[in-house]
Amino acid sequence: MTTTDPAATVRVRLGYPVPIGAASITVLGVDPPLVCLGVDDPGGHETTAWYAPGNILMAGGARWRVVRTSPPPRLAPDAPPGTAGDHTVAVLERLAR
Amino acid sequence: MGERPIRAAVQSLTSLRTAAGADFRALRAAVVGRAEAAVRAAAAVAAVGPAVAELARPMATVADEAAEATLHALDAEVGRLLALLHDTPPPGRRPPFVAPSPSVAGGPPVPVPGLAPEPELTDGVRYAEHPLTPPAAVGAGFARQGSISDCHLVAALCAVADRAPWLLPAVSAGDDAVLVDVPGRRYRLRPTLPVDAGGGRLAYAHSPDGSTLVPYVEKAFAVYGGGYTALGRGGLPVEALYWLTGRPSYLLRVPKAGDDIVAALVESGQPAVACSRPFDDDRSGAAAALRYRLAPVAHAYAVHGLDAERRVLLHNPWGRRHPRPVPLDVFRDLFTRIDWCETDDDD
Repeated sequence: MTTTDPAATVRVRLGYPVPIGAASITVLGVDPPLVCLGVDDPGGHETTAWYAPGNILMAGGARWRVVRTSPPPRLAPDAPPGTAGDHTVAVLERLAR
Repeated sequence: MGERPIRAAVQSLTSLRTAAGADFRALRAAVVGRAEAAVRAAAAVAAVGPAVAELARPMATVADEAAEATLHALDAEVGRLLALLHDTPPPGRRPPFVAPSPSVAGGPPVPVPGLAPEPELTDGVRYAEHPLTPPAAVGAGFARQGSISDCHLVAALCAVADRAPWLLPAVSAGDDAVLVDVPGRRYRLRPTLPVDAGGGRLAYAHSPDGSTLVPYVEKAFAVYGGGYTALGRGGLPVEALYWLTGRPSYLLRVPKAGDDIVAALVESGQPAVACSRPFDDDRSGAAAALRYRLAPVAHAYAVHGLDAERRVLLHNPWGRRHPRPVPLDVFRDLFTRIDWCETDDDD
């Protein structure tokens, strides 16, 4: 069962960490439809893994399902840093305990 | 106390920190090398080999702890000196404008003459009052990127804090205002910072110790750049370096430069920001980026130096997931440019 509370949905952006409670998630790689996500939990514990839509991950003491992923936009080779950093690469939905 | 002697003292301490850091790295390498040699020599004697190994293991830890304590003390001293700057508005400037406290909660902010307009926020973020607090220590790790794509600014801040902290903007608290002084311009800001509408924590750039100098500098840059939304579209570190320091700022096109030129710039001690290229249509580049822990998008990193194997050491403005040391030939393939500014005070 999943919740539909908007607060239980997280959009993981291409260019910066997204906080989930005391943890954060970052995008480390994209190979559509797979995304490589890094989860940094308090205390320095970190995990890195590839996920497809439907996969489950742990972050901030909760379980999250990867609802969908999205490839990054094509950019010029000399695009300024930060360009398209706001692009949503993955949408996560918190699972009920 | 005058501003110039303080900045000179910060410059001297930073040079001392660089030299101390190099000495500690050399000491650690020597300690580890000798310990390994002792273990190898003792390995022939089965009875004492494990005991020697057990004795040798903590030596590197002792060296690391000594380095950390010494460098942290230097960072803290730099932080204290910079706090003096922040508490003392530069001489010759007009006193801060005294404005009535704006209403923070509810309704759009009312423009106050003399104060900069509140920069436009991204969705889900609001302003909340936050007093100015100086950081406990200043170094590459004192600024962290938040939920906005302004790595070009935060990486520049990290680079200046790491290599030339005496060039950081002076930030001070006035009556109902926070003053951010960059070369040639003073920003009078409301004492408010962007926070998550839900949780209330700082939404954008911040410091790991919770101090608010960094987000106020970011806010001034958002005023300069036309709002946080515009800031979040990315930008050029060379512009951020010039805005922060007022020093002559340049860029080096990495693919067209030789290894020696790149290495010389990396080792020069000037604040420098390396810009990676996007890897969306380059599978081999994406694989290399993953191997060296680079973000898969055009991203800015503060340049920290070269290691003993002449690999480039980079600092991620996220404050985590720092790249692995990058060999120069790989660096030239994965990065497009290095933006940097001069630190020599020859005017």
